[in-house]
Amino acid sequence: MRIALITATPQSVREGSGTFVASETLRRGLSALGHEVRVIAPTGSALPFAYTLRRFTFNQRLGTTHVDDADLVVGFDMDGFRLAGRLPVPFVAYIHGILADEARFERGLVAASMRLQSRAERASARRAALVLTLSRYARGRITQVYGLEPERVAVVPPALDIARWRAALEAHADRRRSAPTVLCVARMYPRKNIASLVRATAVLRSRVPDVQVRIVGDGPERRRLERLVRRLNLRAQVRLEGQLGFGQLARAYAGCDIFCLPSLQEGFGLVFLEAAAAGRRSSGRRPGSPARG
Amino acid sequence: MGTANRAMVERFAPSSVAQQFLDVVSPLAAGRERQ
Repeated sequence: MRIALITATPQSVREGSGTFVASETLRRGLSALGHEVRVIAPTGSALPFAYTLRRFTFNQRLGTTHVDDADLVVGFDMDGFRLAGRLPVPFVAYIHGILADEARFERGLVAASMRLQSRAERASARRAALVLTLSRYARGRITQVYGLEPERVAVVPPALDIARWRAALEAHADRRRSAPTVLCVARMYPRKNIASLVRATAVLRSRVPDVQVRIVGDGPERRRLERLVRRLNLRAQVRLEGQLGFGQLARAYAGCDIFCLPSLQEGFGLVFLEAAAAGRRSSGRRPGSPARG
Repeated sequence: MGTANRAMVERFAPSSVAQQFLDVVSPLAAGRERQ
């Protein structure tokens, strides 16, 4: 089968985060099974504030001729929304984060741009022949926020490049810190709720004085988190590591005792799977629970 | 990695997920071929 994957998500882990990892790993999996897969994506990278503009421009320029050699077209999240329902071949919307759901937990410009993008995502989902998403939670939210019938939404989880992870993790198999270490890996958005982990560290410190909390990732919340760490006098316990390369990330998983991500919303949470690949237990919270409580 | 963890993670191997993807979308493509 010839499959076209449409995505404006930056084609790197650093910028594209879990959505890029999931789409790229699916591409490789389909290619390995003998299918012809073509990724249609913008070239170059955009500054964060220009991302939404670039995404809409990319979609505006997409025409049916871009996918006329495909038997199946898959649009990730909102991407490809202008083609949905206009093609002679099936269009599938593969929704990872559910923009309308994520926006509930964000602030300011990030929330505004997510709401804008969620309108396109809703249009894509409603016009698609089928909607795919990553988890039962995401399926439930999509049916609610985009008003879809449940039978039009199927769950296909993200893939993890297990061979690559195992090879990297085995290189650090004997790496355990002497101090009890908690690891968090996330883009620093409000919905990731990393501030809760920082505040919890202040409590944990009184019971486990040598506890270490490593937070890997970057994003709009970084300054706020840095201030919180200083205010709670946790500089000896909490390290904001910034973005790490793949080898360093594997080393961080191998070196932790427990993984923690207290997200308020996750379409899936690929990092929990990465922690499981490293044989580490995870701590999180029930996705979406604040909205119910 | 523990046995249970290993079995759980295996479900997310690229070939396994790609097959799940194909199982779901293939009826759409097959329907098109019949048309």
